[in-house]
Amino acid sequence: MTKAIDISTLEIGYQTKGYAIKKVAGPMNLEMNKGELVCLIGPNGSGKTTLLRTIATMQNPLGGDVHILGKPVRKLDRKSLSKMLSIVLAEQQVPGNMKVHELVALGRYPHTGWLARLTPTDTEKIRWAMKITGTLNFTNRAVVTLSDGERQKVMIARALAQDTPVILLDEPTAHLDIPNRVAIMMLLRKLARKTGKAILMSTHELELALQSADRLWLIRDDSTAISGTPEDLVLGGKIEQTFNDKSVKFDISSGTFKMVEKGNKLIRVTGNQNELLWTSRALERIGYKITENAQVEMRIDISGSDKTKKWLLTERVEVYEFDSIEGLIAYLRSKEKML
Amino acid sequence: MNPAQQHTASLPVSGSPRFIKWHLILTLLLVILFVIDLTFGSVYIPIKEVINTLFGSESVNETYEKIVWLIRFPKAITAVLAGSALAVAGLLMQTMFRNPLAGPSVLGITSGASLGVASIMLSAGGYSGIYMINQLGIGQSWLIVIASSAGAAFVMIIILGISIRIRDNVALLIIGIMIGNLTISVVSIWQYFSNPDQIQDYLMWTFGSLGGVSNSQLTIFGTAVLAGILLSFFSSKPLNALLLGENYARSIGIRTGTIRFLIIASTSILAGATTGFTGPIAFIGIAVPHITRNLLNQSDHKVLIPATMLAGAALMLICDIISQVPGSQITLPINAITAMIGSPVVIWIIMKRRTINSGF
Repeated sequence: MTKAIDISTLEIGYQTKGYAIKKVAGPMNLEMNKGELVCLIGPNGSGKTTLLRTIATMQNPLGGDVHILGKPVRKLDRKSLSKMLSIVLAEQQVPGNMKVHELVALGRYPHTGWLARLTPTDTEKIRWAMKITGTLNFTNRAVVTLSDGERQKVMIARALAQDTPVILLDEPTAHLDIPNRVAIMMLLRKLARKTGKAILMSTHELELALQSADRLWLIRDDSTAISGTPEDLVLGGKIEQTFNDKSVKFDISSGTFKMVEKGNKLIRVTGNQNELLWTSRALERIGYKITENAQVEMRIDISGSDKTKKWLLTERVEVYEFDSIEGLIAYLRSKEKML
Repeated sequence: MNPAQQHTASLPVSGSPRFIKWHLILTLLLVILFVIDLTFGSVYIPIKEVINTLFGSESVNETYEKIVWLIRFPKAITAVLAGSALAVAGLLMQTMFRNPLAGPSVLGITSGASLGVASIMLSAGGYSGIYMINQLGIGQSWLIVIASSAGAAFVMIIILGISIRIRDNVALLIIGIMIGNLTISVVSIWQYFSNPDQIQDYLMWTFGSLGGVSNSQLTIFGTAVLAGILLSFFSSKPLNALLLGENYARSIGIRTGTIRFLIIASTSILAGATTGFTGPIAFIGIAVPHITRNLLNQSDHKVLIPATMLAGAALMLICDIISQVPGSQITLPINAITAMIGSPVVIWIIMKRRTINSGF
C-alpha cells in the first residue's frame, strides 16, 4: 500500500542565496499511513514547523525527498498538490468581516472555476465539513468574533472542505485551554478514523500526543527523527532520551512528565492511593523525598473517610494531627524556618 | 423541512440579492450625483435644463448645452473614472499588502506616476509642444498614460520588494512615504533645470484637477480604467485567497507570482492613468475600500470590486460638487476636498482597530 507520506533522507533547513546553509534537522526517514493521526513532537527549535513547511513545499529541503501518496511533492504543480494536501497554519490573520462560511468555502478553491462559483457538490462538501467539526451553528458569524477553540475548528473545517487525503496542522492546540485542546485532538482522531485521511500535526502537548496519536514522529536532540507508535517509543526509552533534562523527568509508569525535585529530607507516607499520591506531591514540592523505608524519623499516616480526613505526623515521639494538606505543609514550613 | 435542508439553505452564496441591493443603491446614488454635478459650476444650470440637455430634447438653451457637453460632462466623467480607478487600486493594494492603510497615494504610487509625467513634461528639449494636459493630442495622451503607469509600476515593484523583507505594516507605510519624498525630490531637481513655462505647466498639474481632460482624451482614459478594472475583477478569486495570507493562498492552488504581477499591472494602470490625467489625488484610494467594506460587511472581492468602483465614483462626484462651492463662483482645488473627506476616514480606521498592525 502506498504511504500517505513517505520521507526519505530528508534534510531540512534554510538556504538563502549568498548566505551559509543553516541545517535544522536531518537526514530523516519517516512515514505515515492513511487513516492515521500522527503527532510530530520534539523539543523547541528542533524543526517541527520547518518539517511541516518542507512537506507543504512552503520551503525547499536541503536534500532528500517527500512523497505524498507515492508522488514526489516538489514535482507536483500547485493545483495538483492543493488537491492532495491541505494545511492549518499557526499564523492566523482573518479579515474582520469574513464570515465563517466564506472562510470554509475558500477550501473549495482548488475545485472551482475562475470566478469560484460553488456547485451543489461544493456546497454539500462545505456543509459536511462544518457539520463534522461542529461549526454549523456559527455559519454566519464573523470569524474574528469566535473564541480560539471555535476558530481552530473553523480552520480545520476549511481544510476538510478542501477534500484532500492528507492534512497538515501546525500546533493546532496552541493557545487553547485543556478542554479545547482535548476536543481538537478527539476531533482530529475521529476524522482520521472516519474519513481515512492522513492527519499530521505538530504539538508541544506530549502527554496528549501520547494518549491520542496512532503514531509519533519524534525529532531528537541529534537532529535525527524516528517514527513509531507512542507505546513503542515510550518502552524503548526514546521519549525519555529526548525530553529528560535537569529539571524534568518522564515518568514511565504514568506517562507524564514530572519536575525533578531535589529533596533530601526523608519522609514516609502511608494511606489510600489518591491521598497518598497528592500528599506525596505536596511534600516533594517543599523539598521532601518520599521513602518506603520504615526506619525514618518522620512519617505521615493518612486516615479517615471521604468527609473527614486526618493527617497524622509522627516526628520521633511527637504526634501532630492535621485536617488538610495545607495545614500539614504550613506546619512543616514553619518548622524549617525556626531551624 | 428537515434540519439538514435548513442548514444548506443557511449557507448564503456570494453574489446573492442582498449584495446586488447595495450595488443598485450605489448605482442610483451615482446617477443622481452625476446629474447634480452637472448643475454646479461658475454658472448654475437648473436640473431640468441639465436633464433636457442630456436627453437631447427640444428647446434647450444653447449656452447651457455647450457648457454641459464641452465642460461639465467631460469633467463629471473624469470624476467617475478617477474615483473608481483610485478606489479599486486602493482595494487591490490593501489586499495585496494586507495593510489597511495601503493606497496609491500613501505608498508613493502616485508620486511614481508623477515622476513618469514629469519625465515627459519636463524633459529638456523634448516635447516643446506640450503645455497643458488638455492640449495633448491622442498620441501624446497615450504617452502620458504609459509614462505615469510605468512610474507607478516602478514604485509598486520597489514597495513590493520591501514588503517581502519587512512584514511590519507601519514600517512599510513609512518606507512608502520616504519613497514618495524621494521621487518628489527627483522631480524638484528636474524642475530646477527646466524652463519656467514647463515648470508652471507641471505645477498646475500637481494641484490636481478633474477639468483638464478633453472629450477625445476621455476615450483613452476610459479604456485604460476599464482595462485595469476588468483585470482586477478577473483576479477576484485569487484576491479572496490572498485574504488568508500567501501561504494559505498557495495551499489552495493559487499561483501567487502570477497574481502579484496582475495586481501590480492593474494597480499601475489604474493609479497611473488617473494621475496622468488629473494630477495626484490623495485619500480616495485609502478611504473608499474601507467605506465599502463597512457598508456591505463583506470580504468577497467579486462583490467588493464593483461596489468599490461605484462608491469611489460617487465620492469623487461629491468632492467635485463641494469643490464648486455651490452658489458661488469659486472653485477649490479637488485635492483639498478629497483630503478633507479622506483624512477623517483614515483617523477613524486607526481609532477603530487601535493599531494598524493587524490585518483588516
